[in-house]
Formats: sequence, structure tokens, C-alpha cells
Amino acid sequence: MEGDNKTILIIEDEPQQREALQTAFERGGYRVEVAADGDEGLRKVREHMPCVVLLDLLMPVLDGFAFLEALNGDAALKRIPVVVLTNLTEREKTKAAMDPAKDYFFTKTNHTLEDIVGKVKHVCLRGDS
Amino acid sequence: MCAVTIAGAVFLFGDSGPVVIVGVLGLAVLSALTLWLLRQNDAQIDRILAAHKEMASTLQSRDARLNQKAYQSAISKEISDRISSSPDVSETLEIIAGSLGAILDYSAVSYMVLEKNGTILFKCHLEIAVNAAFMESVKRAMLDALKLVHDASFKEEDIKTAHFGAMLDESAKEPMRSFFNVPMLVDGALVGMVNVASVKPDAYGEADAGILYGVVAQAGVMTTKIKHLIAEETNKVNAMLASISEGLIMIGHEEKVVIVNKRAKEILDIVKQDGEVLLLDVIQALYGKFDFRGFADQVLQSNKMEIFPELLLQKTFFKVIATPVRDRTGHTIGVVFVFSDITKEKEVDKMKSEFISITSHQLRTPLSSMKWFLEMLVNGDLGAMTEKQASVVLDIYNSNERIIMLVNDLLDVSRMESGKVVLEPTPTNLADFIKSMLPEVNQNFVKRKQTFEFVKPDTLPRIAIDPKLIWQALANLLTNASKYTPEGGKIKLRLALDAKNILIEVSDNGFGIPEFQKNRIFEKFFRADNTAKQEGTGLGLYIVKEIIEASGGIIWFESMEGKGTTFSFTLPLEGSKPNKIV
Repeated sequence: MEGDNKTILIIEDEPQQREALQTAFERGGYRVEVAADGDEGLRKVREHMPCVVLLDLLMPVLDGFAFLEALNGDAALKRIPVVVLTNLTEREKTKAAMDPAKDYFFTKTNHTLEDIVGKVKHVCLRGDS
Repeated sequence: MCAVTIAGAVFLFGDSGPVVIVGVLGLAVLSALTLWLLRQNDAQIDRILAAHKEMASTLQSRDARLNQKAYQSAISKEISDRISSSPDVSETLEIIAGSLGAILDYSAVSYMVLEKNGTILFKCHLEIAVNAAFMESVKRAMLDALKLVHDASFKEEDIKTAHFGAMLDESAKEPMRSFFNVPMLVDGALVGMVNVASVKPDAYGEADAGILYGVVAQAGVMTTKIKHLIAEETNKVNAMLASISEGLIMIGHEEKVVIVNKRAKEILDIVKQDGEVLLLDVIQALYGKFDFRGFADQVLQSNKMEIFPELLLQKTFFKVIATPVRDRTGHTIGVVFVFSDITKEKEVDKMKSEFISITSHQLRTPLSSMKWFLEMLVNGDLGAMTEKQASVVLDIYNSNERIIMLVNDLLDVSRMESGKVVLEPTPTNLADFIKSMLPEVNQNFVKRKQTFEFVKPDTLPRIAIDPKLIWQALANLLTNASKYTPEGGKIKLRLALDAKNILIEVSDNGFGIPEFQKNRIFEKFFRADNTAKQEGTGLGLYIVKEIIEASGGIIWFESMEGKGTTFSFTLPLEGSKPNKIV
């Protein structure tokens, strides 16, 4: 399988989107962990150490901006690449919290699931090397 | 004239002497008559001489009157020229005193001005050297006259004395022997007095006083008129300045604050009830926020309007517009600063941006869910569908894509119009960059069985552009070219280089743009009549134009309906400037 049974973490508060993404990645051969907000996401990152995190921005409890800050500020976690997947238009604001060397920004409506799975595959592979 | 008839001859006596009309006369009568005539002529010559003298004197006084008239109009002109900006009594009297020598003989001409603060200005122009007592006599004579028409008495210390012209000379013993005073009234009130004095006795008659009286009275009337006119204008201006919501400050000569309205004092928090606002007050009020003096200098130097877009003072945002003020000859005499409150505009702008940002996010959330689930259905990930079902689902997927496109375009337009799109120029090898991006649009050509050709020079210099934005524009043109060209058509992308620009050309052999709609092609929401069958929001070319122009280039097109279209744009070799779009 493409995903080679690697673990990815999807942090998304919208159940339908979470489900769609989960289905697509499982079909792509990944082990998928999900979280409904940034707080749960941080716990699951520590627990599973995924090869990549798919991150929504607007979420309850702890939003995506705060999650990025926490992750990139944590020595043990900051090497994990993050693919920001959002419909928010504040690219500039998001960029400030991202690490351009490893993190990516995608607008949900502009990418098919196939696209996203393909991009994540590259990110995961690069993380291995 | 009289007529005497003697023996048939008629003698007429006129002003210019006898006129003789000789009728039929006897010679005897004639000789006797000659004697008589000679006697008559003596008397007549006397009368003629007298008449001549009288006439000369009439002419002389007419000359004098003409002289006086010319003098008066010359004085009036000078007064109106010099005091047009402020009705200055002192200056008016100075002009009159200084010019009086042309029509009158005097030893001294003096004037007094009643100042607003109760003091009296006394100026004495000496034509000849006189002693102090002479000048004192003039002063006394004037004060006595003032007392007659002015109730208040004047103390010696209230009088500021100055004399000009010849020196005071104690060896000159001549006292003041004759004088006359003429008062000056402005708006019905006594404001000053002119005195003409001489060491000669009986130097002045009523006529002399009359001349000066006429001149001073006329000056008084003019000064009154100017005073009224200025008061009226000042009232108008003050009423306007007090009622406008903008703060207004004018700096005039020698950095003097000429105008500062109530609103400006509020904005700058300058608390001075009646005291004069100084430039220093303004500079201090703006210290650290706005270099007031520097901005004024900038305006004086450029000699045109300058705008400071945003100034935060006490939680309020202001736009400052500074404009040079010119006099009638075009010389800059100051700078006017207008402080406009733009807090509301900024709030509305922010609300608009937030509204668009939130709305588009809210719209995009269900759109992306639909996109992904429909994608699964189309790909058969959720089980097989009948051909009919699959075709319907594909239609739904495509419709969903159209809504996504519309939301994206609307968002782009709104971001561009509010200056939210930031241009980030990076040195780019345009040909390589375009080549790397082409697969994104290539599927359009494949789908429509169109041939695509990419022509470029062997080498192109790197230029600083925002690659993402330029690609957005170019992808739009390429997608359009595919969309508006029939299946099997030809699309060509060509890069070229001239002295100052890289030229990018996208040409097709498609439908073309109808002649009558060519001038509207870059308008927002405009779609040509022959494009109704193709999907589109009517925003694409508008966005392309905004991007190219913001990048420092220009865009144009050539098209013939039924033959095809070529869109061309330039990108400057010197690169785009990293400012915001719009």
C-alpha cells in the first residue's frame, strides 16, 4: 500500500470532513488517528508520533494557530510536518505560525482528496529521510 | 455784446473787439467816426484785458482742480493697493502724508492714529528743520482738535511720538504760524487726524483744507468699505471653519499659525481659550506621531498636495491632507492642513473584510465536504453506480466546482480592492517557472483535444515578480484560451524580450471577442455574448488585469470574432515593487 501503514493524524472539528479525509487516507494505506480539536490533537501527537499532521484552523477549545505554536515550540514534536488544511483566507496570519521548512498550507475547496493524499505521501516520505 | 447803429453802419462789440459792418456811408461821416472809434477802443482794450485775466484765472483753477482730481485718484489707487488685505489706518495716513507735498506747501505734515489699546501714535514728517517747540505746537494743536470730537482725554505717556524727514534743530527759531487739521473717520468713528503746519503766517485757506479733507474723507470711505468686506469674509470663513467636522490649520509666513479651527484644537488637545496657538503647540501635540514641520517643508518643496494616510490620535484615525496656499501671483504663502476623521471608514472597511472572510469560510466548508464526497462517488470509492447515476453525480461535482470558483474569484476581487493582497516579488526565471506550472492547465488542452505550443527565447533574465500571482493571471488566460476555443483548436504561449520588458502572449484560434464588446472585456462581471455556453464568473480578466498592473505591467488584447484572440502582457525587467495591490 501507498501509505505503508504509516500513522497520520487528522485534526478537524467538522465530522463530515473528518470522515471524508479518514476514508481517503485509510484507502491510501495509512493508519489514521483523528482528533476534534487542537487540545485532543496535541495529546494524540504525543501518543502516536504521526509522520504528518493534517490540521484544520478554526476549531473549538484549542484552534489550529495555537496548536501550531505549541507543536513548533515543543522540542520533541517540532520536527513533525503539518499540512494546514483550511478554508480560512488568512494565509498571512497562518504563515506566521508555520515552519516554512516543513509545513504546508492548502485551501480545502481547491484540492481533491486525491491531491491531498498525494501531497501528504511526499511529506511523509521526506520526513523519513 | 452790444450794438450801436450810427448812420446806417452797424458796430458790434464783442469780447474780442469791434466788428464793423460797413453799409452805404458817406466818407465825411467816416473820418469823424474814426476818432470816436479810437476812444471807444481804449476802453474796450481795458475790458478785454480784464476778461483775459479772469479767463486765465479760471483756467488756472481748472488746472488746479484737474491736478487735485488726478492726485486724489492716484492716492486712492495707492491706498487700495496697499491696504487691500487689512484696513490699516496708520498705513493709509502714511500714504496721504507722504504724498501731500505734490499739492500743498508745508513745513511739517503729521498724523495721529487712535490705537485700539487707548494709545495714540503721533508721526511728524518735517519738510524743513524746526525746533522741538514747533513739533510740540503741532502735537498740541492736534490733541486740542481731538479733544473736541473725542470725549476721552489723553495722557502724555499714552502718546508714542516719532518724527521723520528733516532734523529737529534748536537753532531754528521759526514758530508754527499757521496750520489746519483734518479728521479721519472709519465706519463713523474717529480713528485719526492729519495736520498740515507751516512757519509762514496765513499759509492756508479754506480751499487747501478742502483738498485734504476730500482726500482723507475718501480714504476713510475706502477703509470702511474694505473693513466691512473683510469682516464679512472673515465671518463667512469663521462660520465655515467652526462648522466643518475636519480639523484645519494654516501655517503662514515665518511659521505663524494663521488659522486653527475649533475642531483642530480638539483633535490636537490644545487648550487655549483666547491665547494665540503657536506652531510649537501644534508640533508638541503631534510629537512622536507626525512630523508636522517636516511635512509642511515637504509640501513647500514639492509645491503640491501631500497626503499622510493614517495618523492615530486619541484612539481616532485621521487622514492628513496638506495643500500649499498661493497668493494671486502664484507665490506659496503657506500650507493648509486638513485633519479628516477616518475611523468610521476604517471600521467599515474592517467589517467588510471580516464579513467576506467569514462568509467565504462558511460557504467553503460545505462546498469542500461536497467536493470530497462527490469525488469519492465519482471515483467509485463508495460502490459502483449506474452510468446514468455516475453522469448525474459528475454534473453535481462540476456545479459544485463552479460555486467554488465563484467564491474564490469574489474573495480575490474583494482582497484586491481592499488592498489585502500582498505582492511578494522574488527573482524568478519566468520560463522555467511557467514550464513547471504548465501541467496544472495542460489537462484542459488534453480534454478538449487542443494542441498547445510553448515558445520562448533561449535565455531570459531573471526578474523579480510574485510568481504565485503571475501564475494565477497566466493560468487564467490559458484556461480562458482553452475554454473559448473549439475542440481541436490551437493555443500558443509565447515569451519574448524587449529593452525594458518581458512580453507574455497567449493566443488561440477560438471564438474571438465581438467587436462591440471589446471595450468592456476587463470589467467586473462582464461576459461577452458569445460565451454564454461556457462556465465563468466574469471576474477572471478583471483579476488578471489587477494582478498585471499591480506587478508594474500592462495588458491588452487583439481579437477577431471567429478567428481568435491574443492576450498580451508585459512584466518590467526592473521587477515589481513589493507594495500592496491597489
